[in-house]
Amino acid sequence: MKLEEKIPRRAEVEDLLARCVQCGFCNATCPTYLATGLELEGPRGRIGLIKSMVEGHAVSEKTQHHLDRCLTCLNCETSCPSGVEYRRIIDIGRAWMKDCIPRGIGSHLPRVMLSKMMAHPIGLGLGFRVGRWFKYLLPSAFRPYLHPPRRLNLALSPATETLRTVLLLQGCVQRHLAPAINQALSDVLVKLGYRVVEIRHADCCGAVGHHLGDSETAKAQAKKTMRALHPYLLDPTLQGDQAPIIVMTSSACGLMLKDFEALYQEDLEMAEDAKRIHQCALDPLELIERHVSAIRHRIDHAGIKGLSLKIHEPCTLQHGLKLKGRLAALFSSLGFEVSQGVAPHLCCGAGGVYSLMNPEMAQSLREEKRRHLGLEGQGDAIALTSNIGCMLHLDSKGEVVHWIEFLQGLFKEGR
Amino acid sequence: MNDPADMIDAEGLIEAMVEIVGPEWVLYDPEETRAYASDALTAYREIPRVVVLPNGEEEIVAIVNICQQRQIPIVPRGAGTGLSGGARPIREGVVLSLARMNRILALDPEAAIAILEPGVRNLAISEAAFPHGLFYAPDPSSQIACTIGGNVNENAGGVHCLKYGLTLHNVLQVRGILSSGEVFECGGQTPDSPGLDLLPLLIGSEGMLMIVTEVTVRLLPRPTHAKVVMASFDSIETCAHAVAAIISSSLIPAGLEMMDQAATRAVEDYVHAGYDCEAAAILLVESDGSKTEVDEEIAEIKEILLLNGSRSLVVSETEEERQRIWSGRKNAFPAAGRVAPEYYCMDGTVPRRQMAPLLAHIAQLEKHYRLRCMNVFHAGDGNMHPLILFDGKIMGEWARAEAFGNAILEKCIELGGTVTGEHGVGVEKLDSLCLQFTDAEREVFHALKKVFDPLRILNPDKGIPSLRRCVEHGRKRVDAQKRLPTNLEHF
Repeated sequence: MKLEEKIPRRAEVEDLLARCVQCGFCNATCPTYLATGLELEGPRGRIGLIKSMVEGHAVSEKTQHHLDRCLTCLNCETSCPSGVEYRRIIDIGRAWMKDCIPRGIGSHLPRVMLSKMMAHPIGLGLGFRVGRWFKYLLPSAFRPYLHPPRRLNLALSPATETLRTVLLLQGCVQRHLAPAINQALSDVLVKLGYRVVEIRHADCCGAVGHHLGDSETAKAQAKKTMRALHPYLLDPTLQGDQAPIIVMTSSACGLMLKDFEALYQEDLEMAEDAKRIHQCALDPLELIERHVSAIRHRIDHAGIKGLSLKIHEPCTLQHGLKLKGRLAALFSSLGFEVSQGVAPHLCCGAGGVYSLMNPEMAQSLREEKRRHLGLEGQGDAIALTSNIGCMLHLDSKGEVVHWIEFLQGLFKEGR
Repeated sequence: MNDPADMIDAEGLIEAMVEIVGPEWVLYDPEETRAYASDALTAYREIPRVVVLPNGEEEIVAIVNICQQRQIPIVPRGAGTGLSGGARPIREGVVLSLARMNRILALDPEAAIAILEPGVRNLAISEAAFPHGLFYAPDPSSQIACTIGGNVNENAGGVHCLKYGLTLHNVLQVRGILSSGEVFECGGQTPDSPGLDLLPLLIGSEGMLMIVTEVTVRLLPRPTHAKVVMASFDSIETCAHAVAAIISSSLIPAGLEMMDQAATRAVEDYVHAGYDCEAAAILLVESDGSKTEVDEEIAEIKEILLLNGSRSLVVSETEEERQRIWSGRKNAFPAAGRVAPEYYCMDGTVPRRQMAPLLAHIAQLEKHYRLRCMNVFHAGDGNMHPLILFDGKIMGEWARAEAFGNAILEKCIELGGTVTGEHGVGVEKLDSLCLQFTDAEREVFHALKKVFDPLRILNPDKGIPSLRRCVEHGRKRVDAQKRLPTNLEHF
């Protein structure tokens, strides 16, 4: 099937495609190209497929399959010397595919369910509960997400002087699976003197739908998030140097917040808010980095002597938010010996909901990543990461944790 | 609609390929084979009939046998990063992708050798050798992605080949499949081997003589120290003279690279290498070895550069800084994509003293062809890479770029140089080769090709131009030969 002559966003894509000179450097860091050796399973090939669509060539399920198999890890953006914005190209390509090629029910149903479910927090909570009961009847790819929630009890000890206001978006999946992560960030920020406001009624930021090429659902969810933030963006006490800092503890969601601007650039009603959010959003890492010296003497290294500390920087953190190496740098500046293992730039295979859609590829990447991180060897190792998806995907017995939860646990009593 | 396989597979070729490698590794639908239509020289495109991805020598033998029986041309392909169209498919032919064969078969730190499948990435060799204090020296700019099989076929160089040599000087043994389907090995792990030395013939043969299936490379001890000097110059001429001064001293720098202002400005935006974008040209000079050696050499290099008109110098203080400075140079080609929609990367060589005249000529050509040109090159060995910037969507620009390129190469020959440095002939340089070689020389090339590949199925339309082509394209200096061609065999 061919695309219509008047395809949406054609000019935008043509501009984006013009940057690519097809040097092929990107293939060298693309997990799916490395695993298969197929040009079509690398960024250059996928860009070519989308270019073919623009040029009016017929496309079929084959193109759809190759675009589906992309993890959207964005390693290619880091490797690309020509500055190709692959993320925007693949997003548009996937959205076109949705209009072009109808999916079979087996591929369509789980996508729609995953995408829509995120918008319904009560349904989502219920879904997890029911899912846990029937865990062993579901495909094994779903199991990492169906463990009982990890919990942490915190006693807040607010600092006296208050710094800026932090708006902490609670997200969707994570608050059911690991509510302790948001609590840990909140606790650390309060200790450091921030005023933390938890935004509870925003739900999914839209990242899941966005990844699945369901841009309508993604946009609706993003809109809900923006609505929840809107009053704070207007608040006269939160302007100028008092502007709020918007955070999410999952780096994939953080990246989505940054993307609101591109998503809504032509929507007059939303563009202004989207731009503000883009400016105010920070990864928690960027915030905590500012307080290294304050944290250093308030934490206790004694309890973790002899523990091998591994760092897994999610793709959204290193290639999406372009914060490569910063998580490792944070912990080494806090006085820890850290290791990022072999090939730290490569994806672990989680890829948002990728591991549910492409379990085989995801599994082989997971095994490789665990080996590279040294999680399969002897001795106690803990791996720190910054994204719930990677955390659950990589974990086997609770050794993969969110870094903020780990950091929170190190604070000395009463500090 | 019929399955595309039925329409194009009258001879059962696809079926035969599927039988050898399995359905997953045979592509025949143009929707998928289009991805293989070109290498990194995208101006030359052709969609192949079939793409096959074998995994192992036995599968390659079977594929070659099928193609040999049916006289179907084979174009081998590694990472598709080549810049002369060597992997451009043939419409009726097979593209044989070696990307799946990417295992390091053995790495012997004591013998300092590695045995590799052809699809191993160049950089992956040095990464594997790193824990043993060794490295693989040739480092083409595409080393992150390009494969050793491709390097062997193109005799790849790189920024460090001034000191460490080309692929030819770092490969000990090559194993491959002839068009007859027979296994052929040449070279050896000893410094000299009996019989005719065919290794230099095979290295750089652009897939025309055999399909490479295994390569044994020499690994070298990784220098413990390395520093790079970045020197700025106010004019291209002074920069070129400084190169001559370094070469004529007793030094052999590990790398000696020159970039003009257009090039530094394009890469600085991406790499933030700290290049002096105000300088007309910059020179990167590297020294490696023990700490004392490096310190002495760097002091000497600094002195020569300052004496020869360098207006400012920066020496890398940390390994990180050194890598950053080099990464600008290594990413120079694709970074051209930031300033123009397309670029045409040339690859010519001139005697080093002729660099300044050639650059002056290129500046004139820029005006004549109304196209911009960035210059990046391996100054140490006179290997130039002018990057002609154009927009293929604008009518006539590609034709002008091509003519511009040819004019540069003609000038290279006039100045006593050659039309290729390290990127190979492929399809791109066929016409230029007519100027470079005499009939007699080309006949020897053809005769050699015939010995290895009598059926002419291995990358048949690349590498060596036919006499007919040379005449048809009006590129042959017939008068110089003092006779008209009589035997117009089409190759």
